[in-house]
Amino acid sequence: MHKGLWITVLIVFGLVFGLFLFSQIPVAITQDEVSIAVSDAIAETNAQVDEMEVEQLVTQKAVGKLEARQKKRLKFLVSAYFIIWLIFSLYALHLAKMQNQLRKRIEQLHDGLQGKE
Amino acid sequence: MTRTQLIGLLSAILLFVAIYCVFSFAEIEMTMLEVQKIFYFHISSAFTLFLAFGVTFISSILYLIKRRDKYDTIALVSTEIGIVFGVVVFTTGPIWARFAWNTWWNWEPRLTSALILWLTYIGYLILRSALAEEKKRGYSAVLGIIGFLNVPIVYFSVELWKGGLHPDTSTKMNLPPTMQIAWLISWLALTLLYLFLLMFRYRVEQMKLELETIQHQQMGEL
Repeated sequence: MHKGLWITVLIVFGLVFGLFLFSQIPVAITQDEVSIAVSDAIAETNAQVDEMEVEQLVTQKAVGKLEARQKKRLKFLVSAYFIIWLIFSLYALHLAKMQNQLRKRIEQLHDGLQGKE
Repeated sequence: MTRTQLIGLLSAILLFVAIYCVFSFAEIEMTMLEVQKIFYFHISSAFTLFLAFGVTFISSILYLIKRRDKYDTIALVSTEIGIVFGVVVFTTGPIWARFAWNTWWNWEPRLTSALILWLTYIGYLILRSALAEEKKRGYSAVLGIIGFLNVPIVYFSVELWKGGLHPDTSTKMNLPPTMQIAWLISWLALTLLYLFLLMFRYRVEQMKLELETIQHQQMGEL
């Protein structure tokens, strides 16, 4: 039971993590985020001569900022779901361990009682 | 396959369905984007925590009326599992809060009353371990009943004390249909998980009692 539960927990973890990694999460970007990222990027950009170059730099910066924000959001999301999984798994393992110890102890005592008889 | 194993299997299947719904079916909320997906298991855990403490409340009343040990055992195991769900609520909540409110914790009505509720039931376990065998069942049953009186306060805290950071109780009815379905499936999955853990933990508690009985028998023979 104990070994089986360990294997189950590992399989479940693999499946959940796999589902998380390979499921398509659509990238949704709000208008506010675009405006903030573009204005930030313009403020930080020093290029003044070539308009094309400025546009390219602004786009690069804006995309970089949006990607960084999405990374941050996903970090929060993964942390939360990992913690949920960890808490329930640890509790289930604790119960399984306790059950095994009790079963062994009861069997030992039963054997002891039968030996006396 | 035993009943406990069947419920365990069902809860595992439903948890997968819930995770699929949360990540692939429910639409993305436009303010918090991906982080909002913490909501489904955070709120469901909080509702399951209420359910667990509700079972403790009813079992404690039944114990005080009928004085049967099985009601006390159900109250004990339900409290323990409720506290585990509380750990989930109080770890996923701050992750959400750090992103949404730029702080890990805020002493606002919902958080403060929920923390008091959780600490009350931790107190329930401490009380049980501190008291003698003949006293602990009665006293802890009383605490199990008093502690539950805080549940409606936690639930309606946003309406009772204005100015909290949590949304009010009507928000869940205004969710888009895909979000509502994902949330309901998550809640059902966690409720089944609670039921599985309750039956599993109850069996372990029965084994403890069996061990004590055998040990008493052996002591009697000596």
